[in-house]
Formats: sequence, C-alpha cells, structure tokens
Amino acid sequence: MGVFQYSSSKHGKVTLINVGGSLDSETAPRFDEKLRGEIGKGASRLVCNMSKLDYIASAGLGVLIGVNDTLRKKGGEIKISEMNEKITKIFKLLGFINLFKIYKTDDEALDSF
Amino acid sequence: MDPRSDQTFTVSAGRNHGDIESSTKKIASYLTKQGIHTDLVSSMELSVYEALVNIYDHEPENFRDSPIRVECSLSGGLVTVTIRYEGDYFDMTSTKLPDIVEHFKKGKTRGLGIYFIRTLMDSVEYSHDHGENTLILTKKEE
Repeated sequence: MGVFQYSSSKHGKVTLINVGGSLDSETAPRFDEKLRGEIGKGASRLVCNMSKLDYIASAGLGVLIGVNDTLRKKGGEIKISEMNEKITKIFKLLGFINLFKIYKTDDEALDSF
Repeated sequence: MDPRSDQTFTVSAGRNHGDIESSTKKIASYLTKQGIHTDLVSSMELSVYEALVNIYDHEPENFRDSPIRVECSLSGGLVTVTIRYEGDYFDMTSTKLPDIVEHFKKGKTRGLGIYFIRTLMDSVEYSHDHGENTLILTKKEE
C-alpha cells in the first residue's frame, strides 16, 4: 500500500491510463485528481490498465465508480484492461466483475470504443 | 487439533494512515507465515484495512490519541481478527446494504467500505461496552 504510479497516453480519441501500486484511502484522492485532470482536458473515453495494480481498497474503487458516472453523463466511459489475477479475484469476490467492461489487452479495450 | 490454535498475534495501531497501513501489512504477513491461503489473506487484509480506515474516518477527534488494538487468532479452521477501539457506538453490521450494482452504477459510493467487509468475511460481529467497541471479523479456511 502507499505507492502509487500513474501515466497516460493518447490513442486517437481514447486515453490509456496505466495505474500501478496501491489505490487505497491515501492514494485514491491523487488518482481521482489525475483522472479528473484527463476529463478536464477533454478526455471522455478512458482505458485503465491494471496489470501493475497491487492493491485496491474501497476508496480506489469509489474513484473508478465516480469517474465512470461522470464520463457516462458525457457519453463516455472508463474501461479496464489487463487486470491481474489478484485484483480479478477481489473484483469477483465483491461482485464487481460486471460493473465495468474488462478486456484482456489494451488493444482490445482501445478498439472497443 | 490445529497446532496454531494457541497462537495469537496482536498489533496496536495509531489513528493515522501510516499505522493503519503497517498494521494491516503485519496481520497479512502473520497469516501468510501461518500458511493461510493467499486468497484468504487478501480478503482479511482488505477487510481489516477497511475497518481501520472506517474507524479513522468516522471517529470523533477526541479519540484520535487512543490506539486501536488488532488481535489475530487461528483456531478450528477459522481465522479471526478482533479489533478493539474506544469511540462512539457504530454498528456496521446493522447498516442496510443497497442493491450494490445498481447503487454503484449510479455513481454512489457511500457504504462501499462496509460492503467490502461484509462481503469478504463469513461473519462480522460488533459490540459496544462502556465506550469500547469490539469488531470481530471471521473467515473460514477452505
């Protein structure tokens, strides 16, 4: 927990986010700020790559839910790619696996828009 | 008889993010060393973290200097974490959980931490006695 990594790149009309480390109550506000910054710059179609995400607490998931709600109101969405096994298990246990559209690869997620 | 049944592991956490994080990691590390399956360790780690954050976020300032005691025990195929802390009455086990998918699809996130705990654990018990709260999280080993 505690470590937070973030980077983003543009792929046509889609913004690819790479998030790593932890999304907990301490780092989630920074993640929210970063994503809101992307939206502020005009992004409405986001793909969040979770391959390097070690830990997600309710605060982190709350950010994804809140941002997705904002994007949907603008006709956009946040989709998830390359979710690793640990995070996938947590999503399944919590019943959140159908809450977001999840893709095996970045390309699949990017092409889905 | 489970050879680990006499063992308990206790940590004391201050009410700050650093202590919450390190205490949660210590509990997870202890369970891993006891040979508990990684899935159960992940569920317990996340539930303890959510419980401690919930206490930190919602308890009044006058309890900020009072540490939270976290005790972990293994017995009869059950992993039990008991969290004791001074504070006002708040029974997270009695909070009504919403229709979770519909609730969160609407962008609402209130109650998410409690939902995590109650979904990941087999049992969550709460009691309040003379200003001391006790929260007991239990998960069965598969």
